[in-house]
Amino acid sequence: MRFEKSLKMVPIIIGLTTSFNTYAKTEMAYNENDIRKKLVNMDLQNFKSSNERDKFVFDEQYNRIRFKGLLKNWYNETAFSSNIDSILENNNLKQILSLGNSAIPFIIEEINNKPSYLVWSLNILLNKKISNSNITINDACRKWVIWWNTTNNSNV
Amino acid sequence: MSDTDTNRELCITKLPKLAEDTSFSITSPIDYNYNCLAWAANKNNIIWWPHVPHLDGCTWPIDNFSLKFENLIEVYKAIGYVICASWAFEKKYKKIALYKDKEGNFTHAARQLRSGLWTSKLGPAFDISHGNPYSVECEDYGTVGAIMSIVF
Repeated sequence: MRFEKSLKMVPIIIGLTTSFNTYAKTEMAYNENDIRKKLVNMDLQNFKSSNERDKFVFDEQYNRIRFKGLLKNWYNETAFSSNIDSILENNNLKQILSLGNSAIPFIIEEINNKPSYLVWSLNILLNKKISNSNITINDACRKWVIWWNTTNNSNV
Repeated sequence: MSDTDTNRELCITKLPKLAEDTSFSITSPIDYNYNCLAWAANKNNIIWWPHVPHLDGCTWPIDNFSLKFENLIEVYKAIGYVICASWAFEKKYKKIALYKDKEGNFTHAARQLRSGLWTSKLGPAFDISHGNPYSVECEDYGTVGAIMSIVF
């Protein structure tokens, strides 16, 4: 079947652009014909691994933006709340926690720059406290950052 | 410098009665290290809240972990406070005001200073001073449920 440029295409185009579906992410790949014609400079042998690397970078950036947005909302919505339960049950924090361990580098970065109750998300995600004695939020944040740096360096 | 018009407006948005309080001012920057319940007991290095022993920086000073208002009274009784009738300043006594919501759960605590003004820690945000315990009553903090005192 061959489409020609004409007004007959308009209904099809309109039909294509009125979709209500939205997607959290889009997988993109180069046209294989373009690669064969060398229009795109790509090593086919390494295509799979580089594609996975790109996907990882894309996911990380997506999660970082999402994390920042949720965090801002959480801070705003709980700024004056004296009820710790409602701070913990806030939907924005729940969504941060739903990012799982992929959120941990962002959390560490944030509490390193600005110590806050966000440190509790590490208690919940990793199911442990950084200290069994009564320490301040600032000290807890500092200790978690040290723990993170030590853990990462020892894994290298 | 936290006592700015913008920050005051933020506080008044959440605690509307502060708009009528001529003694209202912001007295500290945002500080996550303590909360209102600990601040009422003169502590600025720990968060008092029941049933969160798994969280860093938190503790609860008694064994009863109920959120019921009567349990908060027990917390301050444990450190020497007794129920008293009036929030008015008395030179010999340090006073605290305890707040509760419609469900009978505790929500907030404020402390009277030697100047006669009151001090409140607003969640993780600022410390403020206010002229009477009623000017921080609001939807979140509920209403004053008890006044307690201890000899200075």
